Amino acid sequence: MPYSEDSLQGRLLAGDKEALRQVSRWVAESMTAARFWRLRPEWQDLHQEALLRLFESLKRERFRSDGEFKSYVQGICRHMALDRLAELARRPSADMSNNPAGNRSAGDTEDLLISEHLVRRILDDSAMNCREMIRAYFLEGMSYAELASKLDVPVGTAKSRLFRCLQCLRESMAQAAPGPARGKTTSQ
Amino acid sequence: MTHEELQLNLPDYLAGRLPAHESRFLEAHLDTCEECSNFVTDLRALPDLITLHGEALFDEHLDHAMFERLLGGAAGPEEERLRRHLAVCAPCGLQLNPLADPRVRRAESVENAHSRTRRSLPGILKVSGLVAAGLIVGVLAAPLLKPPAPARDGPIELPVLQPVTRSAGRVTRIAVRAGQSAVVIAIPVDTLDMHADDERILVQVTTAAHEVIYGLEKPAGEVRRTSVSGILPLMLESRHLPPGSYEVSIKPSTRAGESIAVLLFEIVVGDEGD
Repeated sequence: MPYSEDSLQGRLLAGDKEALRQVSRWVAESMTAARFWRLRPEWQDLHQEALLRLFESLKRERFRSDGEFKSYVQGICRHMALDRLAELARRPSADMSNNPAGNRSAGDTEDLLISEHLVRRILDDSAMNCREMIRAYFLEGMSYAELASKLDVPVGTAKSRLFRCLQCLRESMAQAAPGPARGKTTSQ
Repeated sequence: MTHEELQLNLPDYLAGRLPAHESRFLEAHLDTCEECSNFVTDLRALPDLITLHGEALFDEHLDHAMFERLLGGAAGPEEERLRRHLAVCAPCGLQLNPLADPRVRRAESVENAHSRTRRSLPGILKVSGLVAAGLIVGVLAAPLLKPPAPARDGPIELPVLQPVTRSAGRVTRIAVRAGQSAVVIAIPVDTLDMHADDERILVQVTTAAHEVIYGLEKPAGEVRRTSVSGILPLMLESRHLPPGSYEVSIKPSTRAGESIAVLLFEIVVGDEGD
């Protein structure tokens, strides 16, 4: 075996279930990043393909043990996802009929479903303090004064920080849906 | 108030916490300010989503042990929390799906994998023919594969499933009842190309409690590339399963773009609990 038995790569090659679960997690996180949201109908396939490609790569000893394995795995996923996005961009019409990834005319229910997954995913990637602020304000119903007290900052600072956190959230959402959802009209 | 000052009221507005007179003032601003208007439009659903899903949007991800407990039906009081989490968490949901075994490689690149929708009609007909052949062989093979068991008391059910293709990203599921002794799966294969370094092709059968992987071994020989076609009967012994209702997922893992038709024969050997 090209990698030591107790290394993650070695355990993976030996079929260690926990190692597979760990690497599978990295792949899942990479594939479901906001910028790859268009690929969500294909995540399962891409997830599997990435694991297979990784395994093949390890068998051929392409990963050097002195490198960062997680980054290596993420790199494989990123390349695969970007390739697929490029392919979709090259032939949008051919894929549109069979591939909901390109379908932006989903109904409200679908939108809601996507949103909760997307919000969760984006919150995962948010800075810890942003996630905490959004949770405290929207879920726990904290006031700005309580937030300020919790953060030990003036009320105005708490207010502006929360706004900036929401701005970041919105920017991440825009990555997931290029050609913004704001094309939809909203009625008050 | 300036635009910047009004912007800071947007979270309150989204949360419905802005006093009425300030809301009216802000709404007048929204009519003329595209930036603020877009902000509200994009995040309008956020407070409702947070209210609806609560902690599930913020809680910890499932770790290895939690996955095992959930898959084994032993999550206990934690199960509700885990299920709520899974309902909103894409990576955990993706991970919970039957894991591919990467020890089996597929030679084709993912790029080619996505040309998989171009399945020709003759190919479909070929699969259909194999399905029919599989049905016959399966019926003949079933008595041979049946383990020692009480005399059959009840009809033999032979549900024929639709061909499964990876291209559809679909997993075929069928319920297995307690007391059922075996499930015979005949797999007509529509010519699977195996490369020299392919070791086997997987058919992954998972239940809530078990994960069984059947490998279709590569035929012997030193060929660089070979094809396998025909009927490949497999048998899932369900005798070792504790009583209960199971859902078996059959996920063929083949070269991308290939098709496998799965026939599943349920052989009922007696009443439940026999």
